Amino acid sequence: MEKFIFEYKEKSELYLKKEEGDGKVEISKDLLQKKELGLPNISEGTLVRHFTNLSRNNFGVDNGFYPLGSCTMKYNPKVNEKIAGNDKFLNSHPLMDEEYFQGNLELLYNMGEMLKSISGMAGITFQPAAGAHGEVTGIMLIRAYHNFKKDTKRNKIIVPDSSHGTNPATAAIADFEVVEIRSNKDGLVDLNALKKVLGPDTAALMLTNPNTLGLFEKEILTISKMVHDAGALLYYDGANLNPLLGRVRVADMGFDVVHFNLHKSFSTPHGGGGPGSGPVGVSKDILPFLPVPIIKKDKDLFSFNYDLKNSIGHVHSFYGNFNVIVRAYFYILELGIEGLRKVSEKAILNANYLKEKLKKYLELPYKSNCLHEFVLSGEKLKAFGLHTTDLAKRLIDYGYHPPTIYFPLIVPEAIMIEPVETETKEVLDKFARDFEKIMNEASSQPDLLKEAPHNTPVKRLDDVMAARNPVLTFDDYESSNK
Amino acid sequence: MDFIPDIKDDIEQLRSFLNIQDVNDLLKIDPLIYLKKFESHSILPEGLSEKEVMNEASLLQNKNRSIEYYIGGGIYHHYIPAMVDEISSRSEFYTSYTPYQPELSQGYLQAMFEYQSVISRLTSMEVSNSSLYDGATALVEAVNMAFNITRKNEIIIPSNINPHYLNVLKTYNISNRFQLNFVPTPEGIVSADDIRTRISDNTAAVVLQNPNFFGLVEDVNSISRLVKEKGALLIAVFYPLSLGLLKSPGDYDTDIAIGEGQSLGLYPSFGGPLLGIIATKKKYMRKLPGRLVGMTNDSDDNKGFVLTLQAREQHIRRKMAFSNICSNQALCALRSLLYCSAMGEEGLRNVALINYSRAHKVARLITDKKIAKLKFNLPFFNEFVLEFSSEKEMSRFRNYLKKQNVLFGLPLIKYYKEYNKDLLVSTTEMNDTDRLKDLIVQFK
Repeated sequence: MEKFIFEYKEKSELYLKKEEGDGKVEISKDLLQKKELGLPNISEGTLVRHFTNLSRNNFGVDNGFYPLGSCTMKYNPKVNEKIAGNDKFLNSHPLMDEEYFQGNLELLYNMGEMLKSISGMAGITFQPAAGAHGEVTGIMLIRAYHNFKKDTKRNKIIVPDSSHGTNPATAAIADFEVVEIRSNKDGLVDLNALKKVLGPDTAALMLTNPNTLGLFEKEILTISKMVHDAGALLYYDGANLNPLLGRVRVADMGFDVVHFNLHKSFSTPHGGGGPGSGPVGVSKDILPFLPVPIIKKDKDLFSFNYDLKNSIGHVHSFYGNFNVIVRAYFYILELGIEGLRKVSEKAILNANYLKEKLKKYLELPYKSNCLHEFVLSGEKLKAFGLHTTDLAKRLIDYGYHPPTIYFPLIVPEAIMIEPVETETKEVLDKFARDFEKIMNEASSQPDLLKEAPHNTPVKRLDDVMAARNPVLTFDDYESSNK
Repeated sequence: MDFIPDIKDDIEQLRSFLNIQDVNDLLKIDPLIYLKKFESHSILPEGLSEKEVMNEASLLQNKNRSIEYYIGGGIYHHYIPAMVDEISSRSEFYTSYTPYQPELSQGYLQAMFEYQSVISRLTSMEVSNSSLYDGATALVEAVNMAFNITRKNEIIIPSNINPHYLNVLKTYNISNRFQLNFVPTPEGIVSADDIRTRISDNTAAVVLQNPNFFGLVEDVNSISRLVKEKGALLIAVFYPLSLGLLKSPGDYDTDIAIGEGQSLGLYPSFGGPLLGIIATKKKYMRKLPGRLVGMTNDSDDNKGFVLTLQAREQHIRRKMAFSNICSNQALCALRSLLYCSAMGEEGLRNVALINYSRAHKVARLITDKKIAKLKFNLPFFNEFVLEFSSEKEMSRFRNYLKKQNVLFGLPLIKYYKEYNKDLLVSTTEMNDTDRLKDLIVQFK
């Protein structure tokens, strides 16, 4: 652990000169800040060392292979960082008069057109700041659609048991009842189970396709027909869009509402958990309900249109994570349609190649060819007194970020691997060899896994202790030391 | 450019290993949807080289016109020390994911722990999460939290709360989970009497913004006392940078403090990415939305950090979770930690005081020359409302300054129909108030 920034007693730099003004503050004393704020007192040199050292105890895509399933950890091109860092983007204020940010509006407008082309949807809102924010926006749009049709009995949202946790959480916080349906033996939506729960009270089915097992819902056109025949709508969770880029359009599968994860499919950096960007695309029927403002193009002039009388309103303070959208926009320009199609091809090739290599070592419960990711089960490790988590921790010693583990919930001891298109065959081959080594260690020296990782700044951490006695601030830490 | 690293031979090897020509030989996706419309309907251009992309970028950037602005409304143009950009550009930070594997993420986890600590001290609240999307959605989460704590559904909200936040709250209330009880604020600030007459046994929380949307300093102490007497929760909306001068939410017994963190080291950036701050009392921490970093021990009894109290969150609780948030704004939180650490105790007080003094200087310049008067004659921080004699006079003054490359104030008619000759003016350390003074002197 690095010494805390609060533990230094140094002189801060002077970033702004003191100004005399008239020095008088005409605010009643009992409304003023009286205490010490307790902010760090630290010089810039020490501060930079502190954070540089912290960064060395962190692992990003730029450090190594990061096959974290469902997260699409692809390389984040540097040129997009440079473009996004331009003053003209950074210093534009969202409430300036429109004549001062025509460039921003044009970019958003063009990006909307490109996402429409990629997905086949009729309209886009950029306000959602993340995937889950896109989900709740989409679900509110679905409510608005049914309300408009005076079809207000639709209070249920169906999700498969393999869905991302955000799907049921979203439906619940949007005040829908959540109905979970089980997957069939192939890991796909069970059409009979779906049929049983679909009815006049169904608002929507939320689906990820390919699903979280990395499998394509082959019956998607049937599913779509069943959902629509029941008067419900079909929601697309775009977390797994990467392998469909340039190949399958979301609209052609029959989806009515979709959120995109620009920080997954379109290469914007994850930032250690955010900022992401989760634009939502809708079909023609949902257009009237989109959040305002929407961008209008009139010859070469762009403007915001707030005049949409059935709009659900706003879901963000302003227009979304603009500077993230900038990166995704230029990423799409760099690749073009051919580039995107290569992305999806290589993502699928990589995943299937690695799946074939690794299924020798751990069970592959759902055997179909996969798209961008696949899920193995670590059940077999139990014979050595080990769990999937031990395998994951041992991968760290070999220089990898471990895959997603214990998700999806329908696979026991799950390990979910998404090798993404920006990794070479050589990286995959080495990963497979290292995986084999670890599996050999599992049988010969299980403690090597059990005690892994060995070369990190800390060993395995006690989650139970963290939750039982929460120490959430430096002040908590100091008082717990007394 | 496509950033796919393999040479042709390697891709061929992958194909032949899998024994396929096209990937759909593997997938057998229905030809009704596979590649169906991409040929004829794609508007996507051919891919560009890096040099071409840089040209495209500068064409768009140049369509944004630079101008000095006196505009706030929740987003403020402040000076950001260079080290904030440098450190947040370290790709060990920005190319990582949520720290699910703590042994590989101690650096970010410690930084988020320090962020939570800084926010907790700044707000005088006991616990902060590690970020939400923005101020508006932070208000939604706070209201939801108040509902989950009290199981009551009435929320009292003055109309001088940032209208951008109110708009989002109204949208999220599409299923009428909450009864939103709006309190008019014709005097600019909240009147205790107006709260007293509205508060009831069904009131979950009262929302109070300080400084409010008009920049005015609220009488936070007496409003808080009243709310507490009636047994409701207090949700305070704060402007972090103002805390160098104004009382912190925790110092007037706030239960849930939320704010837009952009003023702490983030660029205006056309309104995103922003930083939603939320902080609360320890007794409510298990109702907080979003990621929380906690300290614990490793198997050798060394200190370390993990994501904790995850039983609150969607990936564990699914439909029982209190919030659906997954991705947050971690890198923005890191930037605000860097900003607060660099500025330090004295620096933050200094910048708050500069903002206060400059805004008052600008207000005096305008009112002394009788160009407009202050709409509310009450204490303010760095933002104030000017009332002109007519809408036409307001436009005339604003257009005069526009020609001098100064964008002066935000017309309030956008938010309140009756405020058609009023301008919300913000002043920060980035404004050249000496030049403005000359321009005002020359105005006829």
